[in-house]
Amino acid sequence: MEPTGSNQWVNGLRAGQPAAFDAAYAHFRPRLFTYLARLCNRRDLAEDFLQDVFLRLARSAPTLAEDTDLAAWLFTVAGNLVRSHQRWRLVDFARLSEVLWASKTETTLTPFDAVEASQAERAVERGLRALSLSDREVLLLVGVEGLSPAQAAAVLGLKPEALRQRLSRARSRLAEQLHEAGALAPVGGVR
Amino acid sequence: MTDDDDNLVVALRALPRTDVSAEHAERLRRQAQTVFQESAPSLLSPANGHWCGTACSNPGSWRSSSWSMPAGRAERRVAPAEPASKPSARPTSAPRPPVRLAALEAPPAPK
Repeated sequence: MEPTGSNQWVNGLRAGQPAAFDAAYAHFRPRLFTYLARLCNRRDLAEDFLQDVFLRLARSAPTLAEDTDLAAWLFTVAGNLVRSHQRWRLVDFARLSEVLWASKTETTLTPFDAVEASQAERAVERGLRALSLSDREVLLLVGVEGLSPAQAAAVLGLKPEALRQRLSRARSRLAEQLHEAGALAPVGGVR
Repeated sequence: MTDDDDNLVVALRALPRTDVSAEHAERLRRQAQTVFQESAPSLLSPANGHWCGTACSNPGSWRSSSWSMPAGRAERRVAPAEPASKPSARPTSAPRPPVRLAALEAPPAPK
């Protein structure tokens, strides 16, 4: 999933090369923003978190270890920001998102209104939003962003077996959501 | 994996990405790039924005092409940066009394 130049980016970041920062930014910005938007269900918050992630990378770049897994590092920071904000606000994001979804307009909310073409996609988006933050997080990392189980375990601070269990439970809950919505029909079997 | 799992995997992978606007992306890139370059190890400036660790009225000025490091101060650039609040902690409107000079003054003449 990661480009072969990922290690070169880390070396370039450590050395203070502007081109390395730009390359990493261009590659990870849409991935992180999508992840953040789905995780917190608010575009404005996701933009703030995205800014914070890259400013932290900018400040921390010289101190990155040579063997840093940049994707895992960035997704860890992003997830920590959301969890920290959630604790601070004591907001139930899932309920909040339902309210927002019901009143959304195309210009103020993400995700994914532009792609309303697909009923299945909308059902999956709704199913994800209905999950707890921890279930949504693991599904987004592994299922959507394609992080390896080892990377996702590192991001979430879990042992591999714990990650496997959390992923399995999250899948089951999402499947329940989709069954209830009548949306888990065969989608062609393409992997 | 069950069929449901297969379908879930496919459905999740098929979800589209979204992104910030091009304008927002470029603004954020510039902001982060500036911070990145200021934090870069190859630069003389410490993280507080000025090579000498003092508060500076124009924090970007040290990077101007006309700037050159004063002779005899080369070692200060590698010293740990002082917290930015230290140099300015003393109120500028109330300078420290000239203790050492006062000590050298002659005592008042006896009446």
